[in-house]
Amino acid sequence: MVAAKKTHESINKRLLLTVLKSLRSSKGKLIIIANNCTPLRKSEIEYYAMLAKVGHNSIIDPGDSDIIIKTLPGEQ
Amino acid sequence: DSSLIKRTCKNTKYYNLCFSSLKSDPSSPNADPKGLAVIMIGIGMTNATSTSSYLSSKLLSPSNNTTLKRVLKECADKYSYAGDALQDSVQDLANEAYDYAYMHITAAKDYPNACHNAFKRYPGLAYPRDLASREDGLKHICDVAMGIIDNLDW
Repeated sequence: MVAAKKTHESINKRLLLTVLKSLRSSKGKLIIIANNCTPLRKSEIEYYAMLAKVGHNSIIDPGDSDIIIKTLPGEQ
Repeated sequence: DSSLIKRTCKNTKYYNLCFSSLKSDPSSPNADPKGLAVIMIGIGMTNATSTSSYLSSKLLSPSNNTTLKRVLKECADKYSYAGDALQDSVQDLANEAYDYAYMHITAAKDYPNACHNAFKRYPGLAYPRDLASREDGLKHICDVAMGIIDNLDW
């Protein structure tokens, strides 16, 4: 359990660093936040995106997107 | 003297909630606007923690619905995290990191959505009416807190 938690946190940290790197380099144009992103991480990303003046959107409804539908939590 | 409370609450989304909540706190007469924000966040922490405890208590009731129990546990955790986020925002205010305080309150306001979404994953589970009420309550408290922070001089 501890290992799993650390792995989860590590992945989150890497994802955040990737986003921040993109924002800092001014290469990011749009950030898309998954519906199952944790609220704290989501809020943090939105804050940085605001600072970098990069647009961001959260997925609320998958519509007819096969990719999103296939990865919905609980749908697998 | 409640004039400061009135002026502060005028800039929030829910004046009545703001005024009644702050007015009832014994320390509010001596608080500055930043202190009022801390009081409101404290109310939010109490609310979130209370909801988390309420959900945990429901887990103790006998039930064969393992899915419901799993979702209730998830929701209890989410509201606990909301409380943690609000605690972080108090520390942010103490450090005069108002932008991070705002960020943490935004997160706290979003955790109830995560709980609601957990119920939506299972069409057979009805979202409890009382939980919906608690969700709105916490969100409104967070909105008020953010409104107060918005108008701090920073």
